[in-house]
Amino acid sequence: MVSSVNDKLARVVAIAKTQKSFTNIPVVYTTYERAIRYVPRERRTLSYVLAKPKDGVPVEEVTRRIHEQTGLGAFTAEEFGWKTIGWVLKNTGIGINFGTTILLGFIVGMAIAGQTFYLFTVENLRQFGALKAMGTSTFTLARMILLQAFTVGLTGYGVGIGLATVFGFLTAQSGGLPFIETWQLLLLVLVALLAICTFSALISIIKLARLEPAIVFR
Amino acid sequence: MMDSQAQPAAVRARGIVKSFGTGDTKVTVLRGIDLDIYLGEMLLLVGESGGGKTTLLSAIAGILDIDDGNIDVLGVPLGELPAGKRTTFRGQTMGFIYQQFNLLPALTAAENVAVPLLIQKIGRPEALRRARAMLDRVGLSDRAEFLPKNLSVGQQQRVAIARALVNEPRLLICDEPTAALDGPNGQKIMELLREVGRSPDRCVVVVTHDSRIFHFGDRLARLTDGRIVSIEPIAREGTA
Repeated sequence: MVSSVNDKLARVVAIAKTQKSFTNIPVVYTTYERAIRYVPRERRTLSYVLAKPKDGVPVEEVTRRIHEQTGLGAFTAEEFGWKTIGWVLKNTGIGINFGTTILLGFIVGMAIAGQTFYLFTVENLRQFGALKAMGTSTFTLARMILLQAFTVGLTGYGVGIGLATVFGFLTAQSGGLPFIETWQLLLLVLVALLAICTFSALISIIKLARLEPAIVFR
Repeated sequence: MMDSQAQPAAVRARGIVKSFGTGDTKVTVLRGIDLDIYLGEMLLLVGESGGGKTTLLSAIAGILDIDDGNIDVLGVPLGELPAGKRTTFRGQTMGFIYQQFNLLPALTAAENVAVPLLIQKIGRPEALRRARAMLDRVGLSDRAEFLPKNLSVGQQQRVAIARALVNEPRLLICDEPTAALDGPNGQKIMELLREVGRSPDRCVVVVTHDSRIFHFGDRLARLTDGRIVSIEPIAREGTA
């Protein structure tokens, strides 16, 4: 099949089926000499060179020597991956879009969880008042509320992470957008979730601390 | 009737004053109450709605701060106890029976009865053993594993009585214990309360406006407009 790239004829010998990505830029696999004929004239026509060290030579050693001898950046696959992620987050709208979505999710999650817990507390004020009257300290009630919040939160965390992981596997297998799920990400989500649980519980704890047990007689 | 007044006063209230609100909306509910309640007796606090019965009950229980006066319970001045110690004291010495029972809906009858013991840090197996024994005393041993929603209102109040008595409190505080019950059930509950609740080393205070249960008490204190207007022994067959 003959096609044209930037008004230059090109013979297409194969079409690669690759993983989807966030950027919808078409990728052409060809030789460097042909590639620079297809792209418009620019000051720089080479972004990076993909290299593989000889067997038995450590990648870190090769990148260090390339940097020393050329003054250019040389990275391992993992370093380059994170550098790319950093660049995309900083220089494209993806970072802002995803960051806003996550922030909104955090705020909405906190508001809903807080409201739900607060309503639960208000609905059961007489029971809490009865417990206080029977000699339960505010500290014990606070521990009860925190235990409930963390139990519900951690159950939701397990279910949520599980579903997200299954979704990720199925999506990647069907050629959809893949995503990575590192332990750092799981830890960050856990910390955020515990923050939401603590905040939600705190609203109820303040209510209970101010609760007069005499409410049970009204 | 026991010769309760030969005993020392378990509750000694002097000059109790309590108001709610401020400025033009300030309402004085208790206006200098003096009251002694003795070990071994069941005192009924009666009077019109809004007369201050429940407020006085809350003050005696130490769950409502008063504006003026002193309340000693079993020789301990409640006003001088810090909030935390007052809560602990309440848990160790008082039992409560409420108009609406206030059972915890997710717990079984036995677990509800065990709550005061668990609050006192008694181990769960021992607390449940004592709770089941107390349920047996109120005739509900076959309902120990039932949730409150599966019990009749009379049975729920019996569970509440068992809960109030399980830690053997020396002061039993009852707020309208028959208000949510029909006549026969109310009579049964008061009979039960008199049978298992009364003890020579315990006093029982019952707030009620139900004249059908007055005869269960030993003394009757009438509150009107924040003042005790009379305290009378209740005549009972063979004792009057």
